[in-house]
Amino acid sequence: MTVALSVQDVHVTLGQNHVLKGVSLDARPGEFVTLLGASGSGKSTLLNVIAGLQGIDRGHVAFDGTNVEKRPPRKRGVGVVFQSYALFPHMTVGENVAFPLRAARRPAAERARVAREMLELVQLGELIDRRPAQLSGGQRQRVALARALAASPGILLLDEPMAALDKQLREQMQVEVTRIQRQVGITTVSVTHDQAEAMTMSDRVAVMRDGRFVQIDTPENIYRKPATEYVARFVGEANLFPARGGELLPDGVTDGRTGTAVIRPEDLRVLTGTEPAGAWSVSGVVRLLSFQGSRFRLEVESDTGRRVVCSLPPQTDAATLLDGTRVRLGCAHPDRVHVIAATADDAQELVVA
Amino acid sequence: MSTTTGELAPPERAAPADRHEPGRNRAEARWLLWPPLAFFVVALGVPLAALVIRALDNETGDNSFAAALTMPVFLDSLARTVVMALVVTALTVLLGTVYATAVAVSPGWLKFLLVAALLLSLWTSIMVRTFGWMLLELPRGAIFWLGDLLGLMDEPLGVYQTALAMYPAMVAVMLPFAVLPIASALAAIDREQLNAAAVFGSGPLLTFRAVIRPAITPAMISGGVLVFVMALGFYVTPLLLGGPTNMTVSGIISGQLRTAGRPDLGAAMSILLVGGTIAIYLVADRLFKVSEKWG
Amino acid sequence: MTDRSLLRAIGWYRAPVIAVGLLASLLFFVPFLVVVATSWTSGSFILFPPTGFSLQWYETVLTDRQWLNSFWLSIVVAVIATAAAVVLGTLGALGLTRVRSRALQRWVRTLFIAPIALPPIAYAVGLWSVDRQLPFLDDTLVSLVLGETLLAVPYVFALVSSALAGGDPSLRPAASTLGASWPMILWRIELPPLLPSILGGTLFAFTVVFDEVVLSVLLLPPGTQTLPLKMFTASQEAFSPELTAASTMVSLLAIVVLGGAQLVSNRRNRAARLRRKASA
Repeated sequence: MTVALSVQDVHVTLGQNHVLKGVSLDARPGEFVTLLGASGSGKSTLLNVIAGLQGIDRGHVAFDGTNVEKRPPRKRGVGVVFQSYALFPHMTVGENVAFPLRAARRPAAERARVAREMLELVQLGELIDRRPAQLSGGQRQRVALARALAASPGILLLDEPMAALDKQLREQMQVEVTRIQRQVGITTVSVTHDQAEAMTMSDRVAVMRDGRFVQIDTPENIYRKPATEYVARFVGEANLFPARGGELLPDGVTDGRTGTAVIRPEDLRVLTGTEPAGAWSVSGVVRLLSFQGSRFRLEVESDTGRRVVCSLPPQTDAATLLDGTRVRLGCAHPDRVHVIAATADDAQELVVA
Repeated sequence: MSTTTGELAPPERAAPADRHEPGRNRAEARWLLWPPLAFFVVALGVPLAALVIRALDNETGDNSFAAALTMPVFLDSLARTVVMALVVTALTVLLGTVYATAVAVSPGWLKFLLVAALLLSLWTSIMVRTFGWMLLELPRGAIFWLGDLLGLMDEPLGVYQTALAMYPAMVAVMLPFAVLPIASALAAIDREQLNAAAVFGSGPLLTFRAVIRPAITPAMISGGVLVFVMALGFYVTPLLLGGPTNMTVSGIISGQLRTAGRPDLGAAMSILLVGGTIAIYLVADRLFKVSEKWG
Repeated sequence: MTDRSLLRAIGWYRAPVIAVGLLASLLFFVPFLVVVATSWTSGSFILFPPTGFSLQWYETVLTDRQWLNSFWLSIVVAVIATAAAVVLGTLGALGLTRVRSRALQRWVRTLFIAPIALPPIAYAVGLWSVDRQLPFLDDTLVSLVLGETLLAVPYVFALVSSALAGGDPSLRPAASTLGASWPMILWRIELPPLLPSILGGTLFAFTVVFDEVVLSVLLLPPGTQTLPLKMFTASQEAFSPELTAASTMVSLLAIVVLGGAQLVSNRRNRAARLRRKASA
């Protein structure tokens, strides 16, 4: 019973703050959309709008084409996993999971059956009689997920679902939640400020800033073809250079600039003296070389004072790149350089930065 | 931002009709809040209104408030009550701070003893506690007995029915109200801050000034305000221990009804007492958020 | 168990602080012990030290209809007023969380705590004036119970309200997205975790009402007396060991009941903590 979600031009004001300034979003049935943004970008507010926990000034929220913005949360048929999980502390795990069915006045036998099924789904069947206080963080999250799914909602909403978990568990649960979401096939909207999480889990990522969507696209396009400099910087590390047309301008030149080129660290490489001159390059001195397991991260200060970051393979000889060494960096994959037109939202930031 | 400035401006939005949870039942707040609020109107509003009516309903026709405010007995008792309340509050907060600290830093069995004393005081009635003080302070009471036993006293104790007799009893009655909030403030102090102070070489006095005192000051104030307003309404303890020469306002009021037969004066004095007390409470509440510390 | 950080911060001041605390605790213990001691005298006057030992005064109190009647009257008044105060204080604390406006929230909170600051005698005169205006209330306990309820509400409100403040604020929205109506949320989600605080508030309110004497002075129908009032008049008229015997008994009763409740709740808390630790 999965539905299509449509959010149309939603505005929300909280006190003096215009928190959502006309956001629109469509999600296909079964799609996993992540709202990604810094804190204060309005992403949690939008989630609450979809859940019905936050009223709107104007605009529409529709499930399968039916406007629901006037419906109270309990009649929307959404399942929410809250950041704190909001498990009811005085109920057992089973009672928690069966709660939505109890609210819907379903018979006890059905409640027990669904609770068992749901706990099997999240692989916690044996903990049905425990209390939430007796569970680990990851287990609580699974219970919250099982509870959110128990009444077969049309939409699943995840509010910073991984925020309370440590890094290792987080990665494990990202995979797990995605598995369950695929298995159930439920339309899902998740909120996070963790770009890695957004990339891993979603079909599409919607980057929010300041109450608006900046870009809604697949994870790969968000990374490869950011619509604005903000997105480029927010998702992964980015080196931004002035460009004219499709061409990179030499470092320090901004005359005739029509856009901003985004070069990801892994698309840069250290040039040796033998490279042909003509191609674009930037030179500077090494400021920091740090080993990160699967790569070296090289930070260079260019001659014009720009900070450039470059990824190097782990077998690089660190001794050749001591602090202060002069290096020249060139483009490893010129075809992967993406240029943001200067008219895009905040393209002029580059000059300031 | 440049492309969107046009959208930033429009404040001509329709008034937000329902910006919180849609369908949020207004019945919810109504069902929960109205019964107690209605009760407050009946149990608090009506008696206060009746006080005003009673104060104005005066056979002799003169103004009861003016009469009350020109009665030397009333004015004396008013001054005495305020001074007494101030002294009791100061002593209680001071002793309460030490007591709460002692509870926090005592080893197990001493802590149990201190907490048990506090609970004993909370659980036994004010009447009983006041009797205890009477028995101690009577001319040939328990204090005299002990003094005599130690050879320190040969004259019977002259403290009973004096102002001095009231203070220890009132401080003892009020002490729990100061200790409880301060103890919970002490328990809530950030332990890392204490550790940080220690690591940076701060001694006990500096740590107290820099970390502990700022953390417990709000609790001291809210406890103190409560003790003060409660002390303004003290009746039983001063009556039994202080005797007729140390009447508080409450004692005078009850005298107007029970012996003098002037309920209008009693009502006028009651309004002055209630008005003063509630005014102090409200001001203190605005300034120090007293009720937030308690609720 | 002992708090190392605080101990280190207090340093060598610990000993004098504890010493002062212990001296202060004498303010609590000594008067009570004196009352107890004088009650078992075999003489007919309150004397300290007591002369001889006998329980005759306990017998006198327990066979005296006046003492027993006043005890039961106090119980009745306290039970009714406490029940009302518990309902009203709990509703108020829950209702307060639904108030959106911060300013209104503060005013409501102030109102609910205000009765603590109300001078009891002045309030009693007010209720007494109501009785004068409405003569049909005159020979009833209505105004007394109403007044005692008002004085007890703040204690329930304060305890429940602070328990609510410590709870997870997302439980309510969570329950509503799961399809629960507001009465169900109230009953199944909000109230159960509050029960210990409500029970604590009940006990507190009961002791406050049971011990309250000032309202009884003016509001009781002629010929009836609550226990504290009986003690009060007895102390002014006939200061006999009967009085301290009655005081001792009622105090011991309170200590047994309240101490028992405290013990049970402590044990439950500890058991819950241990269970959590065992499974973590």
